[in-house]
Amino acid sequence: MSKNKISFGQFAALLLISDAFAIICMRGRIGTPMALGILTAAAIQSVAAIPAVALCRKNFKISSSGTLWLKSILLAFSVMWGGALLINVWNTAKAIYIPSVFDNRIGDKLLISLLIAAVCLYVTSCGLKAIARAAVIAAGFGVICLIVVVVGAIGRIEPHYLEFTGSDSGYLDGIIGGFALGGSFGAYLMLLEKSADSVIKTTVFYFAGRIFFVALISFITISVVGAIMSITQFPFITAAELSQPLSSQRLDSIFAVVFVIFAILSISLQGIAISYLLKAIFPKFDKFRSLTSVAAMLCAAVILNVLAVGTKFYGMATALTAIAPAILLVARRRKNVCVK
Amino acid sequence: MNEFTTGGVRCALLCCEGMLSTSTITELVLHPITRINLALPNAELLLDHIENNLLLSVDRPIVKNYGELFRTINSGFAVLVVNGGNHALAFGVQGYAVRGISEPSGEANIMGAHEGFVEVIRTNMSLIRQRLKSPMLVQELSVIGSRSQTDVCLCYLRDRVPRELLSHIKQSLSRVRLETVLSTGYLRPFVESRRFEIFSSTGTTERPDVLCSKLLEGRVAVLIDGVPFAIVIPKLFCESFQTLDDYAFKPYYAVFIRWIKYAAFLISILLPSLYVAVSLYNPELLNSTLLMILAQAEKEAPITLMFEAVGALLMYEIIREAGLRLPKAVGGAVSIVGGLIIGDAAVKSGLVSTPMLTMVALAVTAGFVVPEISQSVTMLRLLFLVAGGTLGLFGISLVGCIVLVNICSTEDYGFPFTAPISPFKVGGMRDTASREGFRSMQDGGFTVEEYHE
Repeated sequence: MSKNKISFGQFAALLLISDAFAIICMRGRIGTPMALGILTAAAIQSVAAIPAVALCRKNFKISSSGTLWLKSILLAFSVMWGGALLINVWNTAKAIYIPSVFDNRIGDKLLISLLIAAVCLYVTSCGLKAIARAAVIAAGFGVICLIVVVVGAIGRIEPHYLEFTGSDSGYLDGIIGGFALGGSFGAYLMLLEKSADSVIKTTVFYFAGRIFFVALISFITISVVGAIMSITQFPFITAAELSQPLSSQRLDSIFAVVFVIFAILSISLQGIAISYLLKAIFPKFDKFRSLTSVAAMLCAAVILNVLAVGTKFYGMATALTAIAPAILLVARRRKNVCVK
Repeated sequence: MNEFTTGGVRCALLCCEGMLSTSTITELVLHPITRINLALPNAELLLDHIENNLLLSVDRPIVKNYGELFRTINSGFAVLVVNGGNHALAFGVQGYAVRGISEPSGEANIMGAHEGFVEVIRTNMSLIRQRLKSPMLVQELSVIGSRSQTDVCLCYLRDRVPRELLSHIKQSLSRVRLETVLSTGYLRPFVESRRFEIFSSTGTTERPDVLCSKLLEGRVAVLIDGVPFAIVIPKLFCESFQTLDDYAFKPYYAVFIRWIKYAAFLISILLPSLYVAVSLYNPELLNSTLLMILAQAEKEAPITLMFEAVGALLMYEIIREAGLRLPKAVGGAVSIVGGLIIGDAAVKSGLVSTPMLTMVALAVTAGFVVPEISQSVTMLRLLFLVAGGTLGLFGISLVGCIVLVNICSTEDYGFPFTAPISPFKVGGMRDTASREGFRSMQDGGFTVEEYHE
């Protein structure tokens, strides 16, 4: 494997962790139409990945041969998504029970967010290979936790909550929400050139894993939380809380560990993507790129929080980023035709 | 300095008292030299005659300058200097007191050989040669240390070692500007990455058989004169859990023992911190019976759980350090006083609760299972404990993430420390998650180059 390349398994683990974290932090009620909408959005993104795969197979590299506008779009998107993930940490921190010795002394959310940002700074500075290797181990831990949730959920699944009720207007919301959860698409585009294996194999493995994960977690959430969905703020966290495999012990705290690890890896992935893009746009900018990327994400988080942007904004941003490779592919073909 | 005349030429035999064997030098060097008769008394002819016609010793380097002269004399050679000659002849007649080959103290085993490296580099080189009689085995001697002029030997198998790895190591060693090399710790930083690494990416061994197995996997070893340990480059994390006995036992038992070691590693690092974090912040993780037992025990303790744990761990480290540096007889007494009397007294007086002492003792004992990484384990145990005591499971997760990424970023010369787990290599798992029998492993032809990224 050549320098700074990652395997398809590492690639998929890294992006799936990022997707899983976004889903964990998702807010609002979810029904079957919405779940189908989210799955549709994932499928659309997998189709949108085809031009990127085609470009990559022609040895197109965003970092070296990408146009400035594409790099700038990806940079802006990565900063925005990094900020969104930090907001997710901020918003979800209270829902996940994280007690500490600083309770009632320092704001819980502030402490948690700052500490996670500090750790992200270190992780980002370690580089892509380190985080990719760590992602495989973290994904293994995540799979174990998912199995625990599935085992715990088995006795509580009530399939009738999966039936369509009322209007099917949730489907469109689901598609928008699905795009809003797909912020790792920017990192996907950026990291595709770092894949040591076939880009087709990498892409298929990642999107298949993503669709399977979304389908599984949506099924469990809807069928377990269905009865109290209307009063649930974080449906996926509630589903995990309700799916306790042991009768006399609660395992919620274990999920807090997953939450923290996934948060750090997700934010750091964006940090690394930003760092690479900064180097691609400003080749002489060599030092303090990790620090700059984390600082940019923190600023974005503050701005996005103040502006109180919602799902539609994130969904729109992901959709625009998703069509960028297609535009580039068409533009290059037209250029080739003109040259001929 | 012994001056004499032979063949009509004035000579001197230089040697360092106590560093050579008097009987050997008398019988093998002095007797034949003093009986030389030359037709023409000439320094060059005398040196040529000794060099080509007399086999006075096996090791006969030519000394051309003052630096080499000084180094060979201090290495136990006898050096013949001839009046008018443009070089001198050295004879390897070393006879200084050396420690005999004995069982390694830190890497004991049941079924394997009971020989360990000693302080003399040439003995160590021969111990390797005895086990690897291959013409592909290369042992390159060089000198490091501007003042100590320490002999350093680079060992590798020419047909197995990755060329790039070898040239990088040679390059790294050529950059050493130390005055002296007194232990492996002097050279290891030069062959390791400059990044901060919690676990060392180079290994050490005091067993020649272990070293031979590493050389067969394409690794490079560095032997240092005066040090009974060899540095092995590169090292993988999973190797810390492998011992020679694993390959002597039945595979199913070896697999069982290996997984016990993995569990012990996690217990040694995480048990005290998880105990404190769960008891203080997440008691819902415990079942009610266990929770009541712990609450009852901790009710009497005068200090907080975290300080209790930190105190117990530090006390253990103090007792261990005290026992380590003292003479063996006294060290044993210190351990008894520390372990039994202070421990028992602390529990009886209520300063430390019994469950806490049990957790600490379990963690410390589990740490002994993997002695090679005990330094890192000790520090990580304390770090996780402080994180768990202040921030609960959240703190443990944060530190866990840092440690995980640090381990994953550890790599030397392109060999990832975490291989074959991440990057995942199916073939490597045959001797990591399990231990396959030699019937299936004999066709593997594994070399460490498979993990290179």
